Amino acid sequence: MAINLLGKEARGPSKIEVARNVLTRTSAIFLVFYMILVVSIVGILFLFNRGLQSEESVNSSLSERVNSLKETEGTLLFLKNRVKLAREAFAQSSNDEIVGRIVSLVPAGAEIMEIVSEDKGFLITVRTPDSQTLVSFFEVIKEQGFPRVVLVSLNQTRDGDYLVSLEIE
Amino acid sequence: MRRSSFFRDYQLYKPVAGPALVLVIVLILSLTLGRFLVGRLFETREKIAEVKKQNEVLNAKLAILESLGTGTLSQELEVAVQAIPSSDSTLFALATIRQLANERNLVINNLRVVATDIGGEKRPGQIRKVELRFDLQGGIIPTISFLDELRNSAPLMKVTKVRSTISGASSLTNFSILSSWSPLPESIGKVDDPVQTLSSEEQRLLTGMTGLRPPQGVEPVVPAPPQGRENPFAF
Repeated sequence: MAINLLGKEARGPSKIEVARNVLTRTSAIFLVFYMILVVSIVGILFLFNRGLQSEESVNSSLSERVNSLKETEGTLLFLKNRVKLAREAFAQSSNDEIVGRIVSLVPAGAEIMEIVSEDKGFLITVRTPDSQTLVSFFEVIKEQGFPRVVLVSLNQTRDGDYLVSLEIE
Repeated sequence: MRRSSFFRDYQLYKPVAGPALVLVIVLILSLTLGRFLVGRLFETREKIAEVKKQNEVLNAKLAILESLGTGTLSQELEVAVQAIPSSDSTLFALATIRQLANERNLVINNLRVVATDIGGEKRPGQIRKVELRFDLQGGIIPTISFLDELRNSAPLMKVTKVRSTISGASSLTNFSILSSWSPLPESIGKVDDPVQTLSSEEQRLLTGMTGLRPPQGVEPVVPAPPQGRENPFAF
């Protein structure tokens, strides 16, 4: 049986003492870092809260000023609503204009028998006394540059008049 | 025997117990209080950003609203409500048609009013239509002039069908006309909802509406815009 006769000081620190030292240092470092972190976060939070309060006070003042102009806002909203609806109505009214234009351009001697205007376009029936007037009418239509013109019917009456129906889009 | 072993172990580990406990407490606090504080930090930052954004919108809104003259705006609204009435437009459309026909010595026959929106549930702000069908008898030129002037008259009307039979200088024309109306919006939204001024296209349309000839004898009522409450119909 071996007996260690060396003193405690000569033997060096035991495993427990090493562990205690390491743990003490580590926990001290952690504690210091933790305290710094908490103090920093609380400080930043305080500054943030002050900033928030200031922004909220600006917000409530602005809201109050905007509220005092509610009548103007309502009128503007109504106006925009009416204009939006009117846009559709203006966009739809082009057909009537074309009908009026064509009627005013029908050559002398020709007689409009019928005009039917619908959503997509219109149908026009014209009576002309001779072929020259008929050609003039076709030229007038050609000059208008419509995207689609369909000759629906071309007849000659017993009187020698021409009866032409065009579908214009 | 057992008790003395535990007592011996405790005596052995007593020096490390204190620092270990501190370390554990710090770690637990980091996971609880630390997490909570960091969470609050991000939350507050987000809230600041949100309020700042709201303030920007409010500032822009205020600048727009302050730049608008209430008087001019009300006059423009009056014109716009004449073009697209806020209540049933049948009477206004009839007044305009009668006025235009009388001025041109045209005779109106077989007048019928057809409601095109029967049964359907309509949302506020959605357009509603009334169809007017009638025969117009008279000269060709006055009839064309009637058609032309109809485009320049309030309320706005769309000619959906024209069937004209011409004999000599006179004509018999069957008209189908759609007249639109729509109730005004009931609420003006939240205080921080952004507003926009009229775009140049909208301004152009509004100028076009200013040129429309209003019907005589009847005038559409322009309701006052909602004030105070965001939704005037909500109690």
